[in-house]
Amino acid sequence: MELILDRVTKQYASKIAVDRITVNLKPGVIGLLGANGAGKTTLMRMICGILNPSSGTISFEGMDASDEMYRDALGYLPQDFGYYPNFTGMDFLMYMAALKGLDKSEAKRKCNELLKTVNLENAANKKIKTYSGGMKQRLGIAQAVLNDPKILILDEPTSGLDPKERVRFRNLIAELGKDAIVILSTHIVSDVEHIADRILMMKEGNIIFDGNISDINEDLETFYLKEFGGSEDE
Amino acid sequence: MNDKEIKRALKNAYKITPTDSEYDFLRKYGKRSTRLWDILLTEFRYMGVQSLISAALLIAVFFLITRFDNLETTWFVSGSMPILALILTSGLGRSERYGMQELEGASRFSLRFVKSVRMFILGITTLLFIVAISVLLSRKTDCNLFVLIGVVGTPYMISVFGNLLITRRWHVKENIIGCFAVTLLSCVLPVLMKKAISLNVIEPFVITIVFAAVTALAVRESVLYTREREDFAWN
Repeated sequence: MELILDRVTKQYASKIAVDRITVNLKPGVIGLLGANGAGKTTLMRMICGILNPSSGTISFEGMDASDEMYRDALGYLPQDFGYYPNFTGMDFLMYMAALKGLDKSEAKRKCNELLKTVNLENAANKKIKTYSGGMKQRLGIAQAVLNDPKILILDEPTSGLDPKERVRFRNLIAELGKDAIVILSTHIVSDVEHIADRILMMKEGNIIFDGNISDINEDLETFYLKEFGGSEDE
Repeated sequence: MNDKEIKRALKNAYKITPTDSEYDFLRKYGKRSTRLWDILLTEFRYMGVQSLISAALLIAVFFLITRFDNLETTWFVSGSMPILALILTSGLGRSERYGMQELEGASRFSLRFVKSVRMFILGITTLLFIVAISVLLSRKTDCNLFVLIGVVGTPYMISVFGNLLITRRWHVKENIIGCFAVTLLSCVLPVLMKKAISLNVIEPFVITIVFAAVTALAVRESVLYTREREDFAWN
């Protein structure tokens, strides 16, 4: 099981957001680090098939990212996602389950199970517009894993969560990474440090570091700040 | 090597060779069983409640109007149809309005598919409604059915075309004003026509041609609209 990115490029007019990235990803948690504007979100959108690369290919087990079957194996949590205001938490999950192709009985079972996992059992029938930021984020995580994805893309999944929830989700993500390719983009270096099997660092559309935590001879945060031209005091 | 050959060579170089057949892939990674019919039902169920209520109220008003036996009613109905088109466009643009397009786009049934399903549900319903109301009016007014379909349907199609064009090309905040303006203009059109021409003198052939032309434009715009847009700008 391998996700292959082959010379993936995305160009917007004169700006190259992602520049000829070639990487093979295997099951495990892959931490994607980079400053704002480094091209992380663009890369993740291309991996999700919602943005077409200007050139290059993305494939999983021979299926192109634009393929319906590829998306069958995909789970995605965008950085900012919306919701239909009249939906309850349960409606939202059932709607997403239908779009992901789950049949009704399986969807119902899975939604109940996930609402319990993300601690939203008691708010399942409340409208999403009454949810707090953290609750919405938890609901977003639940929809991402509805279809037991083999490729899971998480853009800032722990933002807005309290420390206790963050630890819970870190463990959940680590668990999912045992038999799926989990790409985790975050600014919280400690999240990546604890659970990532592999680190990808992006700068100006390029991957400037690809390796394991053990390849770095210092604290990841110090290394990260050094790579991005900052200091520990920042 | 000329440009064409270079492009072909590049295409071949980037070509993905499937390692699994589609069947094997689905067996290994996908166990989904939803059919097209399920998605139609799902989209219908989750269709914007406000849109459905507004459309239902409008339809009820139209049917009440058809109880009055005069030609004025036809122009009034014709002038109200663009409002129905505005409700339709508003229902279609739900994903963008509420920021759901990324989640829907990354699901198995892509955003294009979701939009097509919505277009199908709303479009077919309103088209059937235009025909039904025209039949009712023709019984009341003794006018040619084609003339009535043309008179009732043309402002609706103009509004659909205009609204979709604006929604596709402009940003969310600007396009609300644009859509209202197009709808208002389409509403005014039958009022102006009423002053200039009598229903009985409209040639069925001419109005059918006009209706077919604006329908073709609206269909073209619908197809373009359902195609996924790359509107995620570099951050």
